[in-house]
Amino acid sequence: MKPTRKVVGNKGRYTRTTAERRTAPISKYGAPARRLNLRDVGEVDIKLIHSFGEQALDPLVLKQLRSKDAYTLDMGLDEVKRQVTDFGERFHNLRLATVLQVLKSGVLYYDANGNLLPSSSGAVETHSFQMNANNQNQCNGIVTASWALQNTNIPLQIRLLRQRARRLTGYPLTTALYGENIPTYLSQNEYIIDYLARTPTMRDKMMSAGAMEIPDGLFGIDKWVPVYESFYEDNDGTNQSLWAADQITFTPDVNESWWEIVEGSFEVPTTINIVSDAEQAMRSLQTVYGAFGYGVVTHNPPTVIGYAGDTFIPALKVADAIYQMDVTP
Amino acid sequence: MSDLQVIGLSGIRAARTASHRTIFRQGDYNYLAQGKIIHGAVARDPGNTGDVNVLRAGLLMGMISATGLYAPSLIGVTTGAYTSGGTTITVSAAQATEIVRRVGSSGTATLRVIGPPTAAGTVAVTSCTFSAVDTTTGIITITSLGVDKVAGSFVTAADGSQLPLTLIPDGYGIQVTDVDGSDVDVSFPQFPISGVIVSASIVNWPSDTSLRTWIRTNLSSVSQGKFVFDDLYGI
Repeated sequence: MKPTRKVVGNKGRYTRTTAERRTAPISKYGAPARRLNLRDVGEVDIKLIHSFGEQALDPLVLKQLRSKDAYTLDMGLDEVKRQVTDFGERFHNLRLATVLQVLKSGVLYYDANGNLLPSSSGAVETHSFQMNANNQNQCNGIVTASWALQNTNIPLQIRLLRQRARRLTGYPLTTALYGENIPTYLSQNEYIIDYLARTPTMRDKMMSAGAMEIPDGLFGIDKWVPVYESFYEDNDGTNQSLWAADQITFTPDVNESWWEIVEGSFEVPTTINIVSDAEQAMRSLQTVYGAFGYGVVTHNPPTVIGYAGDTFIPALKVADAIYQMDVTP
Repeated sequence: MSDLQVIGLSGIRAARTASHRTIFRQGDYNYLAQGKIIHGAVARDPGNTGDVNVLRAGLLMGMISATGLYAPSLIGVTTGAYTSGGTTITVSAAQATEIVRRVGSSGTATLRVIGPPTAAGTVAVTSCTFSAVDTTTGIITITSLGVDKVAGSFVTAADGSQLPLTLIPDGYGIQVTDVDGSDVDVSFPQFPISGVIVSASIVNWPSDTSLRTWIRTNLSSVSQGKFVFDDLYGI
């Protein structure tokens, strides 16, 4: 989640390269050198997600509120602080939900009012992150049988996936973000039961991981991360799960070469006073990257308006680096 | 004061990749001093799908007689054999599109069909009059050529560029349109006149041996280019 790059405005561009994995041809000793190809190079444009909201606070009402703890009149500052904090939290939640949604499906859906949707149902806007269909669902033949079946060779499927990842991008898969059904499938699988019975260290890890979570290191995956608790409350007040029960997303170690959190800029006013000319007015704007906020007082009637927003994108620079697997075809 | 333009909704766009091609087998080659100019309006690489305005390394280039500017020698390659008397020849849809763009939808003797009558036969440059081009199927309606042509014969313009004198050298290609997509004449600074060529890297390198010889003898002659072709060495 840590931002790694800043761009001006809401767009950016980065260079895409691929590592060399071919072998060199041999030559006869003493012969002239053979000219060899350079690697391809590409560029990728990105358009950042932007959110901008406001909330109005009525000082005439707030001023009569008392603080929550001491029950003294405090001009409603306690309440203002709470409202401002919660208001900002919505933008933080958007970032978090966006990151998880990109890792889960590689596509973002929004309704007509710009609300994030958990699926394409009702979507008016669809924002693509260029996921390869071969890296989704059953990952083009990796999941040959459902993990819900106890006799499925799950360890082999994981090994084949790791092999493919190495060949496709060179990034080794080290992390698995998983849904709530995955520990159950693993703990009931015949291959894994046998393995755990013969591997006390891994078995003990599974027992001590709590609530039968998957121990780190199982089948060469360094980190198994449960993400099934993630959710957000939609505009109707309904909790929407951010992760599917049968899904695992496998990723390499977080690295700027394939994943970045890019923040864009927004011009935030620092004054609404009259200034000498347009140049001074322009100079009064402050360039803020990522999350921003500011407040304004209007006078008729007196109102305090808080503005907040964010400009960011989880840049999945190498979409082929991750695998969004549905283990129950 | 230009700005980076990224049109559309938020998200990651598809990558635009520049692919490098090498045509020289080794580092011994020569370029013509001062270089030449490519005529952007008639220059396209129809086989470079998605980037036809970028002339790939290995594309054969000839000189337009009237202007001294350079253009691609081969526009199309026939997909089937032609029997004398026939009224159609067929190329790919992309090549048909380029024929219409560069030469027109019809013309009298404005195309050439270059090829032998039979496999490995004597290559003939035959004038071609055509009346229609289907850019979906690639079918060109022609007046009978009067001779047979093998599949894989070349379809070219008749402006002088049909005789290849050089080719686009190693690199990512040469773009012949500006940022607005308009044709522009561009420099051809690295104009190969000698070197050892990886024959298979020549764009539209034919399978017919006499067409291969035709390309070699045009590129490499007594008074012009001096090229060596690696396929002649059992490679």
